[in-house]
Amino acid sequence: MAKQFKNVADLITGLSEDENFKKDAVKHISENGLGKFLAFLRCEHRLTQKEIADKIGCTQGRISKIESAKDDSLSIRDFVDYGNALGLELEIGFRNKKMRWVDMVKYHAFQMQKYLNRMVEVAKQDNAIESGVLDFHLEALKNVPRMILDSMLKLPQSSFNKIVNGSKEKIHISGPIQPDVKANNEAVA
Amino acid sequence: MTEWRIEPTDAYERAHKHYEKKQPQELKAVLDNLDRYFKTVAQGVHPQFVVAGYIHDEGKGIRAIDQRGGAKGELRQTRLYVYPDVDAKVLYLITIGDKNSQREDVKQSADFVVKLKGA
Repeated sequence: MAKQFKNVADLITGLSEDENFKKDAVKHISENGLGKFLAFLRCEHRLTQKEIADKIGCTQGRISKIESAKDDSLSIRDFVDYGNALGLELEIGFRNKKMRWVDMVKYHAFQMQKYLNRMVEVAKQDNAIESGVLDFHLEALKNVPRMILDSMLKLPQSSFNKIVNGSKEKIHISGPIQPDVKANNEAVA
Repeated sequence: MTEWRIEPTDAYERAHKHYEKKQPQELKAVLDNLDRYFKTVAQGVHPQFVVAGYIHDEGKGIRAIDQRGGAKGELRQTRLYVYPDVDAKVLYLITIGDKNSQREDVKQSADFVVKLKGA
């Protein structure tokens, strides 16, 4: 089977022979992730560089520079301009460096709970809203467990054998979120 | 959901090694633009909607990614020919060349796509 790579950094590492080139090239492509992200947003909104430049009121040259600029040379103004042109609100946030993927999942679960509770509060004021909120809860009740199941089913068959053979507890509830992460979540909320 | 993958052809691998030795700055700049293109496609944008100064249509779904904006300074014109197979979610890297080899590179890329689709 032909060689396949999951990203360009892997391709460089897998195909290049010179260690200095590998190091240099991987560093080079990682220095402008924010500009690449802005380019992705523009393309996602099916705009050319000229079209977004017209919306912002600048030259196409500035757009080209922004999208290829190093991360440390971009300004908040650039992000605000892209946000306004694409109808997006700019959000800036920090994340605890110690957060693991499981903490991220838990963080988003807490956020879901927070917004669901807000919807319920609003629903108490109006019958039509109450009906809509109930429909949304039912939809979420169907889709969220499905997302988790879809992910779980991508695990190797051997994982499921452990459950069938009884070598693994059938239900495992992970430990509570780390205290510092929990405090961080509450601060964000 | 399957994720996009990059698959280099043998011809690309040879060209990559050649450029790595002879024109590393040009290769680095082209790979930076490849990264820009691939990240956009991998995040769900249809390849045909990736529009920028560094990318050109060559017909039959083939796209040429050049060195522009990928690095500072004067670089020789260099083009990486790619074919995004939307159904298989594979981005094929066909070959790299310069102005002199452009006609041959485009033909080689077109032949590759015909063979791939016929397979």
